[in-house]
Amino acid sequence: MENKDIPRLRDIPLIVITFLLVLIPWTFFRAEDAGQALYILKKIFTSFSFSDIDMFYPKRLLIIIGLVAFEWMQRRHEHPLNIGFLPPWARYIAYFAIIMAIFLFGTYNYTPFIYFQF
Amino acid sequence: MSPDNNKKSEYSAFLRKSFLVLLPFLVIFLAFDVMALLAGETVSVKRVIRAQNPDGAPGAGSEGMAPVLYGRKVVDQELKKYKFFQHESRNSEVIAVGSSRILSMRGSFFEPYFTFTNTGSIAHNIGDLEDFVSRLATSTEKRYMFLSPDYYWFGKLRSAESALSKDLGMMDASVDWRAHIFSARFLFNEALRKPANISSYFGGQFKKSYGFQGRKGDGYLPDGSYLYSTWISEFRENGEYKDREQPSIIERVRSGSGSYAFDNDLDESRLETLDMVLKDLKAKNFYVIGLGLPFSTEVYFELTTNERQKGLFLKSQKRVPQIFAANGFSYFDYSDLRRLKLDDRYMFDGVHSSETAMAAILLDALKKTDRKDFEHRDEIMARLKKMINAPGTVPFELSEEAL
Repeated sequence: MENKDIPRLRDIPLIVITFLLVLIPWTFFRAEDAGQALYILKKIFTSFSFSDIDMFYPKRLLIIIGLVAFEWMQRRHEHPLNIGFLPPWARYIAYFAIIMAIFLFGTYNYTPFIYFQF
Repeated sequence: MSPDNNKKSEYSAFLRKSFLVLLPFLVIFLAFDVMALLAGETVSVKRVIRAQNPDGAPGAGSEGMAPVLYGRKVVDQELKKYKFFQHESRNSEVIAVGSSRILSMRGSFFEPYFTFTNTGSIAHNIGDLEDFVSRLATSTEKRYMFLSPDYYWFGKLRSAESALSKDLGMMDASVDWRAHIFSARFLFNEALRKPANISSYFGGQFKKSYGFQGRKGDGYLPDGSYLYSTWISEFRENGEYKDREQPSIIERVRSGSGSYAFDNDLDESRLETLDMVLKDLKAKNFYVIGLGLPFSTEVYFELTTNERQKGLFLKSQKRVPQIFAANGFSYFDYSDLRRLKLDDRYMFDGVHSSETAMAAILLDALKKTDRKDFEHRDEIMARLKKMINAPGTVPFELSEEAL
């Protein structure tokens, strides 16, 4: 899987399982307390409904797919923005696009991550 | 070249490159930020008040010109701060106090007999009211207050903590860097969607107003009352009632959400606070007229029949007038529109009434008030009657000539 540009079919369940295994502990990080986290997890397994999720708008879905694809393509680099191999004009366009994306979609409220609470 | 010089030139090259990368964004951002400033969205509350009251003179705009409105859309409107400083700047003889439900009461109702300021939205609970009243100065001249406490202020579930002091202590929202990002972003998105939208913020009838909403004709007039231009145009098109709040008020009442949380009991301490507030107002030489403002017929029906809502509503309808009476003031209940022979066309949504409804409410309240308690009562009543009966007056707006 490591050296392929496109994941093989049998790799996909492994990717999904890894992703889910990361998401479950994140519920505890994001929730107010352990009780709320357990409540969220219980709801996911007992009354989950796609209609309650608003991310399935075409635009958002495209952005998510784009970001995941970019992460995949750049997975062998130290970080995804390691684009030194591109010509300068392409890098400038990429930087400009990132700055504009922060401007257009950024949320600027201070929401401390859970690590800061320890 | 020494290693120090080498480092220096690397550093300046880095800065130069960073600047070049940021330059296109800075140009775009500054252009839209300046436009937002010119549209008044990022102008401070105090500057807006100075513009609305030139030379401290109260009034609703210059003769023949559209009034200067205040209506930020993206940046926090800081309503409590705006209303408090507006009140201080105008120092009017008559004030209206309550939530947004009293915002249709206009200064023109009292002209030329009294100056008027509508501080509607300064109080969203009993704590806000207490805080505001404690800041009012004692007057040697008699002053008047139309006070409209909402029934849910007296429920146990509603917070009684004042937000006024906190708001007054905070720096103006227009100074916050996020205000500039959000307002520039809003205009940029507008330009992407429909470039012609941008010009609508810089021309037209309300081009002297402050804020994106104000430029569209929705905002606070210099007397503090609210002009609902968008809703009025909708009414002009079809003349039909619609609960325009999102989510609608009737939905909120039925589901017990927000201010309409299911709560069947009065909190006695909140009634005691109202009593103290009225005593304080009396000591400060205010004559207070209490108003129970109208609900749409479906909301009123729900509040009086829903088993999970009617307890608090009906109990407060009974107790609040008693507290006003105990302090020598009147309280008139217009919760039920039908008492004034009005219908839902006089409402913008489940709780906000039109200026025509407000004129009818004031006329009825003054009719029931003793002449000696309210100076110029008869003259103001005659003026209100003229406004209501003017040929251009319709349920959702008074005739412009009459105003």
